[in-house]
Formats: sequence, structure tokens, C-alpha cells
Amino acid sequence: MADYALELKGLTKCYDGFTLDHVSFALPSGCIMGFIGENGAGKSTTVKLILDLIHRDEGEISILGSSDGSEMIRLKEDIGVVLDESCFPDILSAKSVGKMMKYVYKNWDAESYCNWVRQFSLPPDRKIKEYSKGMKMKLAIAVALSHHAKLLIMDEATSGLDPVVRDEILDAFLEFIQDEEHSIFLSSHIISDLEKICDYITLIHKGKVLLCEQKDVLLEEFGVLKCSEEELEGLEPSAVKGVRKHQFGVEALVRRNMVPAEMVVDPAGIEEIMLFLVKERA
Amino acid sequence: MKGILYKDFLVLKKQGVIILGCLLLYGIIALFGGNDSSIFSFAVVFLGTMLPVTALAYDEQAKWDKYALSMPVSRTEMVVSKYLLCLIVFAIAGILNLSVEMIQKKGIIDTDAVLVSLAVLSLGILYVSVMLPLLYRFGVEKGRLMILLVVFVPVGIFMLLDWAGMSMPKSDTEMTALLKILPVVALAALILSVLVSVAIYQKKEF
Repeated sequence: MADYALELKGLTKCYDGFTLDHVSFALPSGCIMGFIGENGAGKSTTVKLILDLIHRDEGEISILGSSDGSEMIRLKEDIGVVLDESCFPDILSAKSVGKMMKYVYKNWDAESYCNWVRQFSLPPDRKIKEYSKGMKMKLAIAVALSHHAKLLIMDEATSGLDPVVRDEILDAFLEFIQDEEHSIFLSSHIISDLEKICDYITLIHKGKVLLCEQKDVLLEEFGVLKCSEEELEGLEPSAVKGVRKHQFGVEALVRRNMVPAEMVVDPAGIEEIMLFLVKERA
Repeated sequence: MKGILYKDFLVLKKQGVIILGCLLLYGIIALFGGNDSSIFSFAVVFLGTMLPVTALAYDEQAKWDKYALSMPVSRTEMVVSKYLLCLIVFAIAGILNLSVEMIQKKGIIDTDAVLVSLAVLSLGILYVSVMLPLLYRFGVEKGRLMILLVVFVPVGIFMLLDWAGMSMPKSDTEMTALLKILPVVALAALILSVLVSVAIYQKKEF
């Protein structure tokens, strides 16, 4: 088993007006990584580069321990993919998608697919045209979970869905990750979802990785300090990661261990950490 | 590749049935209307070329390619499967042609009929060979316009040639020779076309 399910080194892609700039991170096997950032930060571009849907200008991608481009097709047997939209021709039904996948994936598990379709209460004979957005997403996830993939790659798989469906999907992911060989890489801007299930968080902003760290470490390390401007100036500059000024003083994202013990530091959620860090660079 | 092709057939099932229904009607007209079945041959091939375009249009609408390529399917397979789809459709068209011919001639097939049938199929293959690279390069929407050009330009050239006084093949032997060459030309065009389409598709970004 490879140490890393997914490893990116200096991945670069230049467009007019946008550059994905030397993106590097590594997802250890058996873990879930959340890939966060605002719209247009480069999340989908990164996912497309990983899947070889667009051509990279520079950098290296290693999937399940292999960075050999010629092995990509074989590797894709072991990857379950959910993209930000359902890409099935809409005159197919869940049943016909299942029949087709039997010929696509060597490890296609028709029984598991039937179970997921049932569990997600998808009508198997109805055309995808008549599915709601949530149902389409669930169908794509059912496919991704039914060919014994070792790595799931999801691009905005939960955005646009209602909380009940999202919760169902997150449960499915947690079930998937029970096997220690399995890993998940999911991009999203619904951070509360990621906070629930991720082991690692990677934050991307304007094509650059700002942060790649274990979630627990982040939550432990960072805190929000509410104080006056004078108090803030008294702190060591390297302790302060982001500042938000308002009428009655300032709020600052700080490293907890570098702030004097007598100051009150509130816990910071992943969302707050992201907002502080991104605004700091706006 | 099998899966991709299977998907195309699922997608085309409905239109395929409608087209077969049309052909049945044409077939009956051809059988009872007169003794010339070449109109039927053209109808078969013309309708046959519509199917791959429909398949591509569905793919484009659903952004299927981007998803398909994230499965264990190579870019070459994606393109080759569409050509295979065309060839399968044409094979069916050819069988239909010959069956109508056979019923009409009461079981006797002369070489002329086979030659004409083959020539019409070759024209179909030539047409597809020009069409698919255009569809891959420009997408279905713009590609469709290009196809009109592809059809009208050769017709225009022939009319020009005729006007310029170049003689069209008149004698039977000349015509037969032309008919015999056509399948070879079509095959060459097909191979070239696959190579061009694959090259276009390899460079595409989704």
C-alpha cells in the first residue's frame, strides 16, 4: 500500500488571467482531505489536472503510489469520481447506467450498486432527466462507490444539496473510509461538511495553497482573539495570522501558543480560519 | 470501450427505432413504387449518418466526455468508439439495402446492385470521415454548419467541373471503374479521419 493516496508536487497550469501556481500537497492513505477555497480559487482546475482532463504545464501527480502517466487508465479503475455536475446523458436511467458500468469497470459490483441506489431511494427506471439535482448527485456517488475504488475524488459533490441529503452522503463517505486502504479527496466550499468528516484541510486561494494541515492541529493551533488595537500591537507579529477591525476593537486569528495566557482566545472553526487567511491576502 | 459504445446504443435506442420505422416505410415504397431501389439506399445511409451526430450532441449536452475520461477509458477509445458506432450503423444499413434489393429482385442479386450498394455506403463513410473531425474540432453546434458546407462544396465543384466542360463518366465501364474505386477511397479517408480525430481529441481540455 502506498503511503500517499494522492500526492501533488508543484502542479502548475496557466490560463489567461488565472494561474494555478505550484500546488503541492499529499493525502496519506486512509484519510479524508477537504480541499477548500472560494469560487475560482482553483479547486476544479486542480481536480481536472489530477484526472488528466486538462494538460498540466508543470509539476508531478502521484496517484495511489504511481506517477506514471501511461498507467493512468489502469489507475482509474481504482478511482471513484464525482464531478460538480451529473454528466450522464439524461435519457438514461439508473438501471441503464448500471448496465453500462458493467462494461466500463473491471471490478463493477452490480449488487453494491443496487444497494446504493436503493439506499439513496433513487427510482431505477425513471430517466435521469426527471431526477432532482440531489438525486443526480446521489447517482454519481452510487457509481463511484460501486467499483471497489480505493480513492474517491469529488469536486463539489455536496454543494447545492439540502442538509438531509448532504448528511446522507457524508454517512456514505464515512462508511467508505472504514477500510483503511480507502482515501477521499473532496473539494467544497461548504466547510461545515468538511469539518465533520475531514482529517486534513488544504486551503487554496487565487491558485496558491495557503495551508495544508491536519484538521485537529488547525483547530488546536489557531484561535480568535478579541481585544483592542493597542493590545494587538503588543503581540508578536508572527503570532497574528489575520485581523478584522470593527467598531469596538479588533478580532484576530492568532496562534494560541504565542499569545500570553491571560488573554482570552476563543476556538476558531475551519470557516473562520479560511475567512481570516483569505481576507488577509485580498 | 465496450461500455462507451453500449451507452451510445442506449442513448440512440429511441431515435434508432424511429429511423427503422421510417426505413420500413421507405422500403415498402421502394418495393411497390418502382424498380429503382437506389433512393432507398441513399435514405438508409443518410439516416444512418444522423445517429452518430445525435450521440455526440447528447454527449456534449451532458458534458459526458469529461466524466467518461475520468473512468478507465482512454481518449483514443472515446474517438474510436464513435467511428465504430458509425461502422456498425452502416453495416446495418448495408444489410437493409441488400435485403430490399433481394426482395425486389426475388432472390437474385446481380453484381451491379452490390456495387451500387457498396458505393452508396462508401459515400456514407466518406461523409462521416469528413464530418467527425469537424464535430470534434468545432463541437456539434458549429460542426453542423460545417457539415452543410462539406455537402455543398463538392456538389458545387462537380457543377463547376461540368460547367467548365469536363466530361462526367458516361460509359458503363467508366462508371463501374469509379464505383470500384470508391470503397478504396472511402477506406483510406476513414483511416486518415480516425487519425485526425484522435489528434484533435488528445489536445482537447474538458
